[in-house]
Amino acid sequence: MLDMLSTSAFRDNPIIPAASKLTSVQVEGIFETDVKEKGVLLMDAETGKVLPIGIGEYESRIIAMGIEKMIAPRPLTHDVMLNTIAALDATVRRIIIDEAAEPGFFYAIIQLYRQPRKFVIDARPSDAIALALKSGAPIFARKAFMKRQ
Amino acid sequence: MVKVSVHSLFRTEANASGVVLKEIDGDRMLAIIIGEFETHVIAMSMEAIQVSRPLTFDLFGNLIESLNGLPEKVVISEMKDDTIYATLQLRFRSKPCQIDTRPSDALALAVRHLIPIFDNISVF
Repeated sequence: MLDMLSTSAFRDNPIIPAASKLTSVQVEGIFETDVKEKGVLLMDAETGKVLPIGIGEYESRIIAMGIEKMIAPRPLTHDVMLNTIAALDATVRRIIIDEAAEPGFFYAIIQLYRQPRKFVIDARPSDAIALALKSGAPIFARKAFMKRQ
Repeated sequence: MVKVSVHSLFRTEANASGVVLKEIDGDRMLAIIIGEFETHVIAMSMEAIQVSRPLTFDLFGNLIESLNGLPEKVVISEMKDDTIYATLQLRFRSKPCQIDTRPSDALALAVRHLIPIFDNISVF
């Protein structure tokens, strides 16, 4: 059995925002700020609006590998997670950047599906985006977060 | 196959880092070289550091639990062409399933979620 050691880091029952509040986005790329902090830039192709999200150095490398569809000789962490999800008969349906923790930092949820139900899992945006890139699952963000470049 | 636990982490003079596994019912050990970040993740898992947001292996454990998978063990399973292979063994709907992983991911998940670790490659 899994212990309860780490569960306090998860938000209790994150709620999926209404579809009307969400917009579909793509991963535009990784960026670096003036103070060498990394981020991932999401873009709404229809409006051209963007959402920059601060992430860690290592996380930025994982996402860069996901963008370039690099295949490692051995499965990397997020590949193993996806293989595990598949072994448990589930798929990643979509991920959502759903709440702001503080300016530039966000919460995400991963929505899994196994007939006949959905599972909502709390995650950091970096893990959620890495899983979306590797699985091909669509990425959504709250429209209210999007801003003009 | 012997049951082991993560004994310690190390870094060599050439800056390679890794993990030492120790037999639970004895003194035999196995050292595995893994990446620096992976070593760091195992260190954080071992110290049960509480973080404000779920780290990757918190998420991994939560995914398994939410989807009703029961982690049974991780096995450091074989060595081929100087690469060490591991498997994560789960039970799902009372059937066993095996997931291929690098040793570092298997160990990070195991120490974070108290999953038993077995060593199948040491030639004692």
